[in-house]
Amino acid sequence: MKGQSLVELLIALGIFVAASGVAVSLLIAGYLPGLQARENSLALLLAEEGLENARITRDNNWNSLSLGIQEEDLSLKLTEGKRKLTVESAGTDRKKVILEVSWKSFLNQSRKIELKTYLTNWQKQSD
Amino acid sequence: MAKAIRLKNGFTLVELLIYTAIVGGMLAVSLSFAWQIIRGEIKMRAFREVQANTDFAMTKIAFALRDGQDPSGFTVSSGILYQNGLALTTTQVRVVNLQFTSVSNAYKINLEIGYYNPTSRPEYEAAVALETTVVPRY
Repeated sequence: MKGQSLVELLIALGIFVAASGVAVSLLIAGYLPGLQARENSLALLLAEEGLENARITRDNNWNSLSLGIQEEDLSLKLTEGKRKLTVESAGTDRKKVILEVSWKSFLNQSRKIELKTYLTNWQKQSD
Repeated sequence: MAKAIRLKNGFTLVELLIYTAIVGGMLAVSLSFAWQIIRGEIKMRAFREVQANTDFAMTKIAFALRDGQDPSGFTVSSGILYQNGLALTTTQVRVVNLQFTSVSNAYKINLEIGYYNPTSRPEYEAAVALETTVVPRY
């Protein structure tokens, strides 16, 4: 018996299919960070935009940067995208600003980016 | 006697046909896999090129505007973005949209870049659109 039986051939085929399946899934897994990067850079810029908007408010009138939480819909730009601005008091003429952008990734996972900064009442006239 | 030996060592026509069918099927499946992977790689490369260009251009624009520079320093000529005459994007991509909108004393920036694809081939179709707002620092 020198030849291969059908069973041997099928086993060989099975090993081949399993190996190429692993190779393909690794390849696909390698693409995911690249696709994730697109959402991340978009979300980061939207988060920075939110902080800059708070800064605009601060520059116009310190008092209109009111304490509390404000939510904004970003679903046109990111799936279930939301931008949440939280302003907390951090002493006299100082406010802590937290900006959170959350969305659903293309793999349907919840993702979020959070940026924090302190804004001061730098235009205040001394008495 | 001679007949028995011939039967033991050779292939029958059915065995040959089964073998050919299996190998043919395997080849067809692996070739289509390979083709998909190659196309995917081409598309990802186009996408990465666009992503890198858009990120870089947006960073440069935001930095310049925060620094108080005027947006007129950024110009688009036949799809290539220039900052004061220096190219910021590669020849592999084309700027589809660059828009500055004045908001209070800040600028809203809209930037969209696509892969250079004059023949409209689907594997080269890649575009990234970004937007942000930047306040000049005093």
